[in-house]
Amino acid sequence: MGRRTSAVDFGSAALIGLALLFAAEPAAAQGPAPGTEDPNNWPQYHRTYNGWRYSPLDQIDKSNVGKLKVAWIHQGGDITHGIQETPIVIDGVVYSVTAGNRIAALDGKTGKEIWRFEPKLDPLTKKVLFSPYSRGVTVGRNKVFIGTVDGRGIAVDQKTGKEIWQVQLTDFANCQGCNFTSPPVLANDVLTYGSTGGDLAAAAKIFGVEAETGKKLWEFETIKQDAESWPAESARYGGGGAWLPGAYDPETGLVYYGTGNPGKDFVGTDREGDNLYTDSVIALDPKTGTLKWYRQEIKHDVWDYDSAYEALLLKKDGKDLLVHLNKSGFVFVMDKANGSLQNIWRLSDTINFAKDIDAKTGDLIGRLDPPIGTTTVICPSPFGARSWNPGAYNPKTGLWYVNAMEICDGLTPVMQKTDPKDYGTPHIGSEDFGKLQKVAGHAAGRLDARDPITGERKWTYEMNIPSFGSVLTTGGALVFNGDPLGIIRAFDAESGKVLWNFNTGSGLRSGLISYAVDGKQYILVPSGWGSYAAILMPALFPELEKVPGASTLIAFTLPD
Amino acid sequence: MLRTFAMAGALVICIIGAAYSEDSSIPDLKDPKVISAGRELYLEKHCSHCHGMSGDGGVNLMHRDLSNPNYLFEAIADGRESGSLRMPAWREVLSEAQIWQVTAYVMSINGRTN
Ligand code: HEC
Repeated sequence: MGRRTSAVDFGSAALIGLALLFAAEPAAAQGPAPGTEDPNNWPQYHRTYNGWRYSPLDQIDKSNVGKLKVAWIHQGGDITHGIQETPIVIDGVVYSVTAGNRIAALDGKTGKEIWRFEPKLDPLTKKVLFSPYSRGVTVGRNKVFIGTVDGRGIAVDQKTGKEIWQVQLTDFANCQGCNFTSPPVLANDVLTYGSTGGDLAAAAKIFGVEAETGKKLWEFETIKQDAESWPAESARYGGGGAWLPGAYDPETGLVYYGTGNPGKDFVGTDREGDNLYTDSVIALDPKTGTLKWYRQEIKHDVWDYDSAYEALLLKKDGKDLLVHLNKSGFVFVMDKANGSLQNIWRLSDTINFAKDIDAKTGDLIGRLDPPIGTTTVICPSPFGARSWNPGAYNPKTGLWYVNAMEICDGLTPVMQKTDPKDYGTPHIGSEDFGKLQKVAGHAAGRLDARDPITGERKWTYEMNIPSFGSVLTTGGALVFNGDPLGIIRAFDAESGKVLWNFNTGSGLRSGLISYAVDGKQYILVPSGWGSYAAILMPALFPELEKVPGASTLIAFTLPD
Repeated sequence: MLRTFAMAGALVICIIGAAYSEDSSIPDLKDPKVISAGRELYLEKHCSHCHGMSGDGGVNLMHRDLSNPNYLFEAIADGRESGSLRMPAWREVLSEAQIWQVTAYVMSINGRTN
């Protein structure tokens, strides 16, 4: 169903790719080149703090990827909302989290369970919107840390799975169920937890917690106390939050987060102002929670264009850059020291919510704010130019491999009552997420290979149904990507040619990873369709109605 | 997908129907006023998100047997899981009277295609 197209600008993009290759590999006299450290493991959410999702392992390569076979399969229990995690692997042990915040430690060679931990959850988790799924665990300091769907932080022993501490962080019952659907960030001896908040009648926070004890150290309010940014009472239920994992950058000692959208999503009339710090990239000092800098990508958002996605860190021409995709389809390239803008490029071909954006200031030009009570077609849809699942950057090709979708949405904003106990009703200012529609002349989904700084495209793989999973790239010059129907594909990182595919039996909504044990490389695929995409996308792609749910880890390796 | 109890449905409804007429807390589910209050809740509480404004959305309610009011009440009150899909529970978020109203609306839209 997919087809590969060579972009017109292939030649120049290749040159830039080459230039980047040199720029991206510094002299690195001390220690390994960035992204290549600790090659056998997948020790944190994006493997390395720079957000690359690059495994330097190269045993599996273009010549042999076609021979991959299943090494083991693990069933993760409850399949509600599928499996959305990026597993962690350290020294041959896989740490996995599935629905209901069930954590398991598995033998990386056999998939055999070493221990399992299942917290007792507040029954209110059955009523709230963002539950019971989780995107991962954090491992360090001999502990495994999770944020729970009832707003707690929990630490268990890395060897035994026995609980060490727990702490209630969000005011779960009074913030319309604001909670944790992502793992915390470990910054030396401090954990930072970002909560859900956008789409909820809440004013969300990021919490700093002592990793050894679970003691809360600080709170950072993602909704700024500022009457100019938030008139009257609007700050009280402004949303925000940081629902995806941040990253700790040991070079600067800062934690980067992207924040969620302001509420109510599609109605801005009672919150005239910039609505800081929603839709922003923020840099926090993890010791104190002090804000070091921020860049708001979308001022006064009325389209649900969160900035929650990953921060890709790159070096170019002596500059330290932070590349950041906003749901709106604009990719912001900034200086990671202060957030100042270097460039803005478009991942999406179909943007109509603004006529343009000023690449110097980041100001939107010619906004299309959908009026209340009538239907306006807005592109991209609230699902974004890409889902939250990250792309992957390969230092060998200098390319960023990223999924994209071209989907618009007929939105009808309405005034909506605000009630933080109305748990099942999104606080978004409309009666539904609108009528999703395809864009004539465009494939609905793509995997793009792009220069992350200029956006130039080297190759594209088109899909009838967009991917809602994360991309993996490896030292074997491969790219792995899965689709909602359950097919995982391996691509040649340079040409985009499909080299291998496998039907996993359920859709991909998670993070593919690679690790090695005893000299053998594995590709680990969490397969299990679920989430709001699974609920809402069948209206546009009827084939998806038939995709079964699952919560399965499938490990692939080469035959002996 | 047809529910296995579809055949037995008619019988169940007769029995339940008899029980209802004696229970004054259950509104008349055919009363247009109850249905229209249900429609308002259906939109206000975003049932429409997942089921579409008129039941033909992502989780389609049209091509099913939704004739058993007790079953519908329980499904809405306790939430439902089907495969990996999940509907939140509405008990205590909505009052019992409100759950009966949305039940009436769901039955009315479903009836339109039957
Ligand atoms: C988050 C999405 C979501 C929301 C919001 C939602 N539902 Fe559901 N609903 C579902 C899912 C998923 C199912 C189970 C689907 C299945 O059985 O195939 C379901 C099932 C049902 C059923 C039972 C259908 C059957 O055949 O068993 C009814 C009735 C229903 N919903 C009504 C409602 C009403 C009324 C509301 C608002 C108060 C509502 N739903 C809100 C997702 C949702």
